[in-house]
Amino acid sequence: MQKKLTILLIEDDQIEVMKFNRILSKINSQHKIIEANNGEEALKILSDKDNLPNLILLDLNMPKINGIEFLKILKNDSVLKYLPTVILTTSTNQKDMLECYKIGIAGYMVKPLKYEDYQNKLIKVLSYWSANELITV
Amino acid sequence: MSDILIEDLKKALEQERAARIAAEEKLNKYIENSEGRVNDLTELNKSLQEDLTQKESEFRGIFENLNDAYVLIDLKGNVLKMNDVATVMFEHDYTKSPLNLMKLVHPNDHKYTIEAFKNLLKEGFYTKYRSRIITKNNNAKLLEVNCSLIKDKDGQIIGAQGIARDVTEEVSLQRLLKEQKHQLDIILDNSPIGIVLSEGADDNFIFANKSLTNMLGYTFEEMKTLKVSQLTHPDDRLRSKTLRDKLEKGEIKRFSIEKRYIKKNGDILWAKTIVNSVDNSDKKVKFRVATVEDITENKLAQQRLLEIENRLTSLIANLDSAVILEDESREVVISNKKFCEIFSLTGFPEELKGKFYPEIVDNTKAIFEKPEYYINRINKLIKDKKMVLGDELRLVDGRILERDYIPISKDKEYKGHLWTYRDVTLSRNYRKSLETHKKRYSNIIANLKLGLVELDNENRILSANKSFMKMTGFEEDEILTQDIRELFTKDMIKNLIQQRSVSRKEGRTGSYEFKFINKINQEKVLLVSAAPNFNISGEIIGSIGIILDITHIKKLESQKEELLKQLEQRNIELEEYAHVVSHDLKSPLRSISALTSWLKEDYGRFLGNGGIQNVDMIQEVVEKMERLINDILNYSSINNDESTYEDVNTFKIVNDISKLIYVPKHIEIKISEKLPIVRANKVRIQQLFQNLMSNAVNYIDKEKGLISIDVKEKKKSYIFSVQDNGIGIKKEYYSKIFEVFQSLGNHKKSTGIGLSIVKKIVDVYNGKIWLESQEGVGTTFFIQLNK
Repeated sequence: MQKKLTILLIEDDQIEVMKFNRILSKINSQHKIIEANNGEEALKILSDKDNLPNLILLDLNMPKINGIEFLKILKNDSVLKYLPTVILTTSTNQKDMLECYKIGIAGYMVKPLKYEDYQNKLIKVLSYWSANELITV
Repeated sequence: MSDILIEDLKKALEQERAARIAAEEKLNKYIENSEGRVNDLTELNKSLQEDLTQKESEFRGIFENLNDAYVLIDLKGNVLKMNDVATVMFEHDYTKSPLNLMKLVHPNDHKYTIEAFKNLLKEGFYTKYRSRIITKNNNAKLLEVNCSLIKDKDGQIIGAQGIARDVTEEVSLQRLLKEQKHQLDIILDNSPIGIVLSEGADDNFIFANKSLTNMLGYTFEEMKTLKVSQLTHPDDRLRSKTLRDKLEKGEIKRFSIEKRYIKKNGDILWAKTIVNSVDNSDKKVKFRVATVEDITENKLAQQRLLEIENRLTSLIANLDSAVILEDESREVVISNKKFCEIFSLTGFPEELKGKFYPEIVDNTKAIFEKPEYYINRINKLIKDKKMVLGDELRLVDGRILERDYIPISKDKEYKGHLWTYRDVTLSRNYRKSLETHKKRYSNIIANLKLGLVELDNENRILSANKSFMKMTGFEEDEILTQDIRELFTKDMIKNLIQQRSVSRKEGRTGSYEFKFINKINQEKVLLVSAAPNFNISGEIIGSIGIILDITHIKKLESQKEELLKQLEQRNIELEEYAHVVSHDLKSPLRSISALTSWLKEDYGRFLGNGGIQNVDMIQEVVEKMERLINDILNYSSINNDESTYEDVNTFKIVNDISKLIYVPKHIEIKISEKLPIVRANKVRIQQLFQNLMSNAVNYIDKEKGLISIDVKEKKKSYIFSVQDNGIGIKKEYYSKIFEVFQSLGNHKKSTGIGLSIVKKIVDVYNGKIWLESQEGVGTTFFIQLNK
């Protein structure tokens, strides 16, 4: 049975957000999506401890607070550190990947170029997480 | 002496004996005659009575003329008659006073005399009665008497007659002879010389003294069973035999020989034997007297002497110095091979013996630089007769000789002189070249860029070169004999030098560098290497320091370090930048890709076939653009980071690649199982093979494609090969294909960076890449990677 998830998508590129929403609507997803254009905004959203998401999807290349900086803040927070965070990025940089796993992530998804490939990949990630047992912090 | 004496005595004795025998014969004749006559008389009795007086007078005449003493006595010993000889013998004239012979007999002989007399009466005669008498004048005499009884015509014994002879002298002579023989025996037996007497021609020994039997170890009885040849050493038998034969034939009277005898125990006895033949009266060789003298010791000593002489001779012969010995008349006594060699004389040194040395000198003077000086010098030396050692002589051909002159004298008498010549050319030249070398090296040292300083064990400066002065800023006379530690004012340096000195004393060398502000206030960085300095006997006498001014090098080094640091930083920044750029470049592509696919999805039906085709083409171009960005990123991020090295199984990687990349069905990929494990970065190795294999796949134009990946193992490297049967490459492009953005084909996936990445990876691993290709047939890429 598919769970309804609350997902925080942190993405600065509007087209990427559009791609994400288009795929979700295409598969008639019931998941609740919270959008944040950058890390600052995301932190603001996460400050409301009563309405925390089940999953965070995080882009690495962002202005102001970039993905890795955001991840560090997250993992240093006694509550937020429990939130599973999956990286959603175009970077195949080994250094970034290593750094992310070191800080603590729940997944690392490289966004393929082709929209169809991206769509397939994203559906798999979402269905995985909706099948997963989650905790409420 | 004793020989003559014995001979004389013998002669005397013989004469005496002959005379006595003659006398006795005579007497017996007369006795017989007279007895006959007495008997006749008795028988004729009275008729012939008158003849008696006549006969008596005849008889008297006879015994009066006897040479021996004749005595007629009655049975009581009273002399009835005696002749003149008897009168002299008994020193008594019986006509003047009666004489009883019994009274003259020596008291000790009394008993014997009475016995003898009884015997006479019984037998009628008694011969060789010997008794001592003592005459009236007290002379003791030994008499030998032959006597018989006298009977009257009736057969009555009326007296006895006897012929007496004074044997005193004879007996004493005999005794003397006996004594002499005894003495002779003593002499013979105690003589250290063996004496043997043999009879006849052969080995019939009749006497051998103790010395001889002792020498040979045989008893005389054993000797008698042996022959001379059996006693002689086999090697000496012929020599001995020849001489003995000559002796036998009478060709010689005596011979002397040194020969070896074999003792009973088998030992060898060296002996000097003299054999004399002794003629008997009829001149036939009858006796041989041989004296044998043990000279074994002498022989051994002689042999030893000979050995020593031989050794000395060979020593001189093989001496490395030329030797020539002259006697007082300047004739060559001895010389050697080296002499002939040095003076270029043909022939053997033995041939020089006996030659007049000045002649040789004159013949060889031409080899000297100053022949006249050479001769004058020799003459002067001989005149002075004083030992002179080490005269130097130069030869025309450049050789240098050293000569010793040693006069020789025996018992203060001049006996000649010894010359020795040594070829010292080599050592002289050696010394000379040593000096040149020394000069040259000291020049080098003086002008060396390296500072050089020599210290004694107390760290006092013994010498220093120009560069040292330049580095330290001191003047030479300021620092000589100064303690080097006091010249450097900074505490740190002082400590450093002291610390090193300790280990230098243990014979170790060390190098160290330090900063140093010199006398003229320049900051210098110096590299000092110090080593202990040893004398010839291996004792440490100080140390030698070599100082290199590395101020400039140090400056460069720190500059280089700074640059490297900067470069590293730049590299990191650049890589970051590349990622950011690639992300920023890729994002719009991604958006274009998404937007075009939505365009196709949402408005496809309005676009028509031509429109959709264009949208697809946009998609393809976008994909190619993305590959290009990825490749550039890859290419720029290849570096040699050894921390990422691991054991990479190339067989596994190549296998994985063959499954990962798209391989059309008509292409077969053969992978050798020999592909090894190499030490490298796994991602790079994968990139390397993936690019080569993708290329191979992309450029195959044959119906049946074949790609084989193989390896050849060398001592220090592996040579991998990737072979295809594709379109091949023209020779002029062999090097161009490795340049960035150079793509030969029009393959849609080609970015022109693949082989550049391969080349860069190979370069990073200090490997080599090359290819063999034939257009239309195929291409083989070779990659050599070091083990």
